[in-house]
Amino acid sequence: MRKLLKTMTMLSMLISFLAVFGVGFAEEYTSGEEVKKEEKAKKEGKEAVKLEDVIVTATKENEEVVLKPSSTIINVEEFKMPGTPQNVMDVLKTRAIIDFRGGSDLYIERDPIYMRGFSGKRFIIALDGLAIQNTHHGSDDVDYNLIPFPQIESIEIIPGPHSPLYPGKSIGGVINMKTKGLKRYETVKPDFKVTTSYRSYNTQNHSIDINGGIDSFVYGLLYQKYQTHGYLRNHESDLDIVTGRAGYILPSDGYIYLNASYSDSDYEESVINDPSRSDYDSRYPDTPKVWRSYEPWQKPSMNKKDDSYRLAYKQPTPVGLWTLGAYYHHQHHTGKKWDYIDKNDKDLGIERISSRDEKWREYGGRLQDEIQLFEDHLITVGFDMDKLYRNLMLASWDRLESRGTYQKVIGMYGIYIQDRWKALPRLTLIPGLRYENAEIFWRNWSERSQTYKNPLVRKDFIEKDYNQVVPKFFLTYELDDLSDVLRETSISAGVSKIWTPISYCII
Amino acid sequence: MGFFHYEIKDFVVGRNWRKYGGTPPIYGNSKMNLEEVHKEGLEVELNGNIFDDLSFYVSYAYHDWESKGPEPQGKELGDRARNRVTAGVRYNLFEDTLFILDYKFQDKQISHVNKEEPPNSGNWVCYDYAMAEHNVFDFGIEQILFKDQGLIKDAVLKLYVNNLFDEEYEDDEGFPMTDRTYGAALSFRF
Repeated sequence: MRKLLKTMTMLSMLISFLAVFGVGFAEEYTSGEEVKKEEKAKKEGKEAVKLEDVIVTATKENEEVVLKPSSTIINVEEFKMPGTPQNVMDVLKTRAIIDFRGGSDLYIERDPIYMRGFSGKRFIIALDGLAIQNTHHGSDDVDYNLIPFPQIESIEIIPGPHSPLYPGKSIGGVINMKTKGLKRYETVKPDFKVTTSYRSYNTQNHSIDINGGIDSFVYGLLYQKYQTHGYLRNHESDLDIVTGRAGYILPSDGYIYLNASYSDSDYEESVINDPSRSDYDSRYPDTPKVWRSYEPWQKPSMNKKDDSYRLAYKQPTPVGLWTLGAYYHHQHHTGKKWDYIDKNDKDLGIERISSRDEKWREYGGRLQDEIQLFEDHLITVGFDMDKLYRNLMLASWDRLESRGTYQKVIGMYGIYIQDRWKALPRLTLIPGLRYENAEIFWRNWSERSQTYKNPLVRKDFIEKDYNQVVPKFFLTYELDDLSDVLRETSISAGVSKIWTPISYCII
Repeated sequence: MGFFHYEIKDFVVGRNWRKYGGTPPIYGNSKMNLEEVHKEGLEVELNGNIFDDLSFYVSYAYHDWESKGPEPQGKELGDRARNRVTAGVRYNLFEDTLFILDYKFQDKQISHVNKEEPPNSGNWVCYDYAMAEHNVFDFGIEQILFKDQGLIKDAVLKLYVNNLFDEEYEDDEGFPMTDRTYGAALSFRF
C-alpha cells in the first residue's frame, strides 16, 4: 500500500525575468486648460508649483493580459480573440503553458488540458481562490463547460508550486478564475449584455447577462444556451446554464454574496466511422475502430445535471482582512446506449439501456485572514477543506446492496501561512508553510472476484490518512528604477517542496 | 520568462500492461510508480504594442521530461510535445474595426493511449499514436456597429474563421480535430 502513497519531493527552481514593454511611453504635454490655469495663477500673484517626475508603476486596468512576477492575468472582458469563446478553455488555449488535448474544440467531453506538462491531477483549477475538484470517473476532471463563462472577470495563471494558499496537487500551478466583483450601481437600471453567435456545424452560443443593484444590494442573472452538431459522428451536444447571485456590500467595504447555478447538458459520444465498413457515413471524419468501441447503431448519449452554490464573504477588520468562501456541488451523470438484449442471442434484438448512473457530491470552503504587520509584512493565514462523495448506481465493482448510497472517497484539509515581506524597497520575500491532511478511501471489495483485496480488513473501503508539512519560498527583485529599459522588470526565484497523495483507485 | 526544474520521486503513471507485461487490472486503470522523474522547461510570455493600433502577444513553452529510474515505461514520458507556441496580432484598422489573428503551434509527439472503454467493460484499448506537429491559424474581424444609441451602449459584430488553412491534426487519442469553421457573433450592451 506504501506504493499507493504518492509522496513527491521536488526542488523547483524558477528564475523569472519578466520584461513587459509598455510601448505607449508617457509623453510630456500641457493642455489648454492647464495653460489657462497657469496664466490665472500668475495674474493672482501665485506661482505655479512644478512637481517632480512621477513614475506610475501600477498596471493598466484595461490591459488584455497583465504579466506579473508570479502570474499571468487575462482580463476576460478585454481579451480579444477570433471566435466567440464558449468557456474558459477557449481563452486558456491561447497560452503556451496550457496543452490542449481534448477531443473537440466544439464541446469539451473530457479533462482536456495539461498545465506545464502535468495532467489535471497535478494542477489546481480554482474559482475565486477555492479549488474545484469535481472528480469524475477516477480522474480529477473539471467540466469546463459548466463554469459560467460570461461571469468570469479574469483568469490568473500561476505557474509552479510556490503558493501555500492552494492544495498540494498544485504541482504544475494554479488556474484561478475570478468572477465579476460586486460594485455599487449609480441607477436602478441594470446592465444588460446579450450575445448570440452561429458557427459551422450548427454551433450556436447565446447568452443574456443581467447585473444591477439598489443601494448596497446587488444582483445578477445569467442564462447561457450552447449547442452544436459536433465534428465527429454522433457528437451532438446541448447545454443550458442558469446562474443567479445576490449580494450585499457592507458599510466596511466588505461584502457577502450567494451564487447559485444549475446546468443541464446533453451530449453524445462519438462512434466508429470506418470507411471500410458498410455503415460508413462520408459526412463525418474517419474514426476507425481502434479509437472508439461504440458501434454507430448504439448511439451512446450522456446527460449531466449540476447544481452548485457558492458563498463569499469579505470583512475588513482591525485584525486584518477576513475572507470566507464555501461551496456545495452536486452532479447527476447518466448515460444511455442501444445494446443487445442478449449478447449470446443477438436475434432477440436490441434495447435502449442505461450505461451510466453516477451521482457526485462535493463541498468545501476556505477561511483566510490577511494581516499587515510592521508595515513591511503582509501575513496570510488560512484553513481550507474539501470533501467528495460518490454514488455509483450501476458500478459492477460495488456490492448490489451498497449501490445507490453515497460513499466518501476523498477528504482534505489544509492549514497555511504566508509572509509577503518587503525586505528591501526592491526585494520581496514570500516564504510559506502548508500542512495538508488527505483521507482517501481505498476500495477493498472486488465484486468481480467476490473477495476482499486485503482479507484481514473486512470492509468494502479502507480509509488511510496522509499528511505532510510543505515549505514554499518565492522572491522577487524589482529592477524598475534602475534604468528606463528595465521599467516593469523584475527577477524572481522560487524553491518549494511538493507533496500530494494521488487517489487513483478511488472508484 | 521563466526556467523551471522539477525532481519528483514516485511519479505515478498509467501502467501499460499489454506493452510492458504484468497482469490486467481487476478494475479501473492500474497505475505504477516511476522511481524518479526530472522535468525542465522554459516559458516565455511577451505582450506589447508595436504601434498604438497594433498589439501582439507571443507565448512559448519548452518542456523536457526524463525518467531516471529503471522502469522501461518511463521513457514514454519524453514522448510528449516539447515545443509549443501561441501568438496573436490585433490591429485597429479603423477606430471601430479590429483585425485579430491567432496562431498555435504544437510539436510532434507520441501519445500512449491505455484505457478501458467503455469503462468497466474489460475491453482494454492500448496503442501508441504518433502525432505530427501542427500549425493552426484563426482569424477574425470585430466591428463596433454603433455606440450610445437610445438604450444601447454598444453593438458589436464579429466575423471569424477558425483553422483558417484547414490544418489536419488530431487530439492525443488520434481523433481528428475540427477542420475550418466559419462563424459570426453579435452582442449588445444596454
